[in-house]
Amino acid sequence: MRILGGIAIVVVSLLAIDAYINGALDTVTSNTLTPSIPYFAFRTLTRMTIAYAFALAFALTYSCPCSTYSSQSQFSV
Amino acid sequence: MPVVFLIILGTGGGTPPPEFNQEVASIILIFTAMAWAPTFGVIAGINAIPTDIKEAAHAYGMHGTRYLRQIVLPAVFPELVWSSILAWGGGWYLIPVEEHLSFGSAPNLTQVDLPGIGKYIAVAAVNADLASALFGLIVLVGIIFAIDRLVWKPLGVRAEKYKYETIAAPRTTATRQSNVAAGVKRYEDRLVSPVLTFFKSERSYAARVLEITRLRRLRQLTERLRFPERITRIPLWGRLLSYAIFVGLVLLGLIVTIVSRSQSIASGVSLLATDVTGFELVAITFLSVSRLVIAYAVALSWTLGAGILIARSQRLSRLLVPIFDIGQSIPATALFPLVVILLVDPFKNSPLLGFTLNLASVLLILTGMQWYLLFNIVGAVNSVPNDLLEATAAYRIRGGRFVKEILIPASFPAILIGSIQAWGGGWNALIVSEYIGPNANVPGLGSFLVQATSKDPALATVEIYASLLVMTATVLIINRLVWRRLLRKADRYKFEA
Repeated sequence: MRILGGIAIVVVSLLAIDAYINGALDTVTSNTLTPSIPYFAFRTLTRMTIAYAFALAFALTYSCPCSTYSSQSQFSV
Repeated sequence: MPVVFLIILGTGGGTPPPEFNQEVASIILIFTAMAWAPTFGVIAGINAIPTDIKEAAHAYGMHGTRYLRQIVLPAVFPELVWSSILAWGGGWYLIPVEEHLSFGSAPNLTQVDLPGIGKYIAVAAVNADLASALFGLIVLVGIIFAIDRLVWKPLGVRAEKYKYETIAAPRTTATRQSNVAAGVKRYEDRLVSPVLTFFKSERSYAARVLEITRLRRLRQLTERLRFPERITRIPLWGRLLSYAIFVGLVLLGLIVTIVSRSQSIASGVSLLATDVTGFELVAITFLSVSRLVIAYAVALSWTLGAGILIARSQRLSRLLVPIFDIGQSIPATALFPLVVILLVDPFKNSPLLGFTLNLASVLLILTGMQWYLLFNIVGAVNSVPNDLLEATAAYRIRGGRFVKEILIPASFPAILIGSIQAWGGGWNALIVSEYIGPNANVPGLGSFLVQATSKDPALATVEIYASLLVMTATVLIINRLVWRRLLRKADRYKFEA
């Protein structure tokens, strides 16, 4: 697995270097949004984390009464 | 999705909605993609609490928050970890749609443009900039990989402590498997085929101890399996309540989306009739369902083969499961430039364009369907009892016969559960897969819904609501005619002592 992973990294790196030399990455470097990628990653992660917190709260609120009342458990299924 | 935007953002008006509203709308949409996996995970975890533990807790007077904190939360922790991974996968899948969305038509265009990786990928996809889309995708995969290593892996190890086990299960491969596969396996063990777990762990403990505990545990576990029966056991008041909730939601939707924007429901219906007939609605629904059926057939074919191979070979499992873990999180929209380059642009002036667009749509639906089936099948095949495997080896049942007579019946309940989840994912993917762009779309419920958003606000609300109603009705019909019947049949395919 590690050997295959290493080979994959080497192949991808070589392809990236080749693409850079041949100008295939020009669109990436000239893309005005590319420098903002770290900030974009932060914002997306924040959004996902907030949504996940709500999803977790919903899951526990919706499901936990089922542990107390069997009729609710049947209803939820 | 459009309903959320209607309510949170309003329709059009030319001016962009406040950024806070955009953020709220985006978070609500991510929430809808995330919420159900942990919910079902928690229900599965609660159902798996052994009766003796419950009785002991009640005997010691544990109620309310104490029962929740000391019994329920530890019991659901392992389920919560794996289902959270699936939930995040569902969230990642939709981020390009949620962060870059246009709503309405010029001059009343509402543009939701939130800073994020999803926006980067979506903008690259819209501009057919394959290099940027791939770069965004690589960044996304890097983030997913980092979260897997830094969050889910440590939590997965911690979750092992919270498993209810009366005997030590062999753990030779547990640490090498992916969290998702291990989680799905636990899900299978507890919700679909808990009896199998019991048989599988036989090797690790004295047979005498097993003989004593087997009957009692089997009784508890088989009770948990009978969820089709539990559906029929819902009392009359429960059914009436569920219908009342459904009708109430429909009425609420009518009031919020139609009545507030047009004079009456009757005028809304007549407005709808000016643009689309009932026959056309049925026809586009049929087309969408056909695409879903084709994608499902393709997904079932390859995942059944791959699932069996992965489950039977540790080497393949180690090689492919991490790749599939990442694959399930790749958004369908990130594949748009690739689809356009391969299946749209070369056929622009060709009579084959209709076929290639349909092919593209089916391929994109496939990305939203296949993983649920794959992980469920892997979990089920892993859970086939060892004594059964030994017996089949002794009787020299091999190859196709082994797959047909042992593995497929053994994984039938899991295939069903995976199929229901896969169809849910397919309906989600339908909206993005039928409308790749203004010049690259196929007739169907998904593209009808997307095109409705760019029409006149009054007509848009009526069409969006009509398409959502048709979609809900179709899902209910399929559930009643197909899945419920098959779930009852699945009861035949369980291992019992």
